[in-house]
Amino acid sequence: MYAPAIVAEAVVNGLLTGSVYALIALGLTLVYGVLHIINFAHGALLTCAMFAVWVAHTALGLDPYLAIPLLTPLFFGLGYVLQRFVIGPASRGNDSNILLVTLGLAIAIENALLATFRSDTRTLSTDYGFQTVELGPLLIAKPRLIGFAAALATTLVLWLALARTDTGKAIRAVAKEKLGARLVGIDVEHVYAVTFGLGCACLAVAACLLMPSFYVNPRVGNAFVLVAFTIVVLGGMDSIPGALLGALFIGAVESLSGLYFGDSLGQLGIFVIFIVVLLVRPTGLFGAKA
Amino acid sequence: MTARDLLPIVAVVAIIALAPLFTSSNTVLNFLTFALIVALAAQGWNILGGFGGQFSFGHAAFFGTGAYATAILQMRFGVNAWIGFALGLAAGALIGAAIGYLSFRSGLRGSYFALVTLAFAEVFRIVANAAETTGGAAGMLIRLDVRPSNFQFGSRAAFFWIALALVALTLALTRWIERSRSARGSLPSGRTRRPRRRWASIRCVRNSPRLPSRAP
Repeated sequence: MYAPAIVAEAVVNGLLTGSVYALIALGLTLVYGVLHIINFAHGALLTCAMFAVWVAHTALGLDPYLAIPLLTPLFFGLGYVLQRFVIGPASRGNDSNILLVTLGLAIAIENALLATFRSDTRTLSTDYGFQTVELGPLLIAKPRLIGFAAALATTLVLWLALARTDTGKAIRAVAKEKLGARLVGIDVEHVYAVTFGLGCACLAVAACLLMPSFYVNPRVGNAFVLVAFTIVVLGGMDSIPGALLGALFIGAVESLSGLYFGDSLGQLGIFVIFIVVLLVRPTGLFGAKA
Repeated sequence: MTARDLLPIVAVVAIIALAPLFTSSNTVLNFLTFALIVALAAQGWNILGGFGGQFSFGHAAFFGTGAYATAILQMRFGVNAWIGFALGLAAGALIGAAIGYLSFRSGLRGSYFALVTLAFAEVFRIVANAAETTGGAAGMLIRLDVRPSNFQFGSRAAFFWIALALVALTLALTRWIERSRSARGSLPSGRTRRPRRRWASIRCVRNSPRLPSRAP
């Protein structure tokens, strides 16, 4: 058995990691809620964003946190273009095609990154990368604390944008009733692309928050996206509060099972939860509707 | 299924079978054998994905189960390689049946089915990377002992022809499924036709799990 302080620290660290998971899962949830497809390119796009942060830092000397205002619009644009001109047309209105198109996209992106950056694992060196903050008896890594605050803030902004703005209203309308939305004059293709763009923007923010304390290689996104799938399913597929709670829960589970079962078996807990939830209650723990 | 259905398969396979007569390069033969193995795996996916309309993202688990089962049986239990081959095939089919049964019984289709198969494959990957029996992340090597009774041949061409024979069998099987009404009817072929099949009292759940099975 471990001392309570160690267990508490594992839980807190898990919650902090979970907040960044929440951002990644948020993008997936949003795309699922509106387009009703699971975006299998999500992980590859996250890797892309992390490399973008790395390039911005090594080539331009830009701090990862300062890269947020630069990369977020950039990735919004990338997502918009991808959905509007690649995924949308390639799917021809058939949902199961989108599944394969996004998977193909993931393979293409991953290999393009592999060709450009090789398979080396890279890290960023920042002044604050290894700094810690003392919170009572707990020692918390500073980048994770900043990531936690920024991730929650981004979630709040996104939630407000969906609830209050006209575009947000249009997105929710398309998510509920595509045909009805089209009949009242909403440009559904545009809304699809905006949603996909928002999903990618979430990834850009997540990448900026991750990079000070994480590494990047062309396959790094896979580890995150499987966790994000779990969170999205756990949170009820298209609910923002569900994704946030699911992410914090999964973060804590991962951290604790890593502590008790070791690193190599740590992620097993997540996937067992994932399979059990899918088999027993596919609507998720927080999902209201079937 | 008529002879005409099989003719294209026989013709293509016969032409490919001539390849070792034109080259003795091990690199080329290895490449061709690997391509045939991928064709075998792809055909396994096609039965469920192409005819069934359900996209499994976890076929790596069946491939891995077959490979690990043969290797473990040979190296840890001293089972003959050919028997290990047959048992590996059975193990892959069994895992496929189990995963298929669980997923389809819960009514998982489309994206949900893709996700659950992906998660199952991930569990298998993590366990294979951590367990001692599988040799952990380093995996395991089979002892070199070149004897046909050991499934090890001096010439690469033998592997090539065995892989080709299996591909030919799979092609014939797929063609049979394509032509046979009862086989097609038992596939979980998706949204619109399912209720009708249920009405025709084909037991969808019982028939579905047999599909995603393919050992290497």
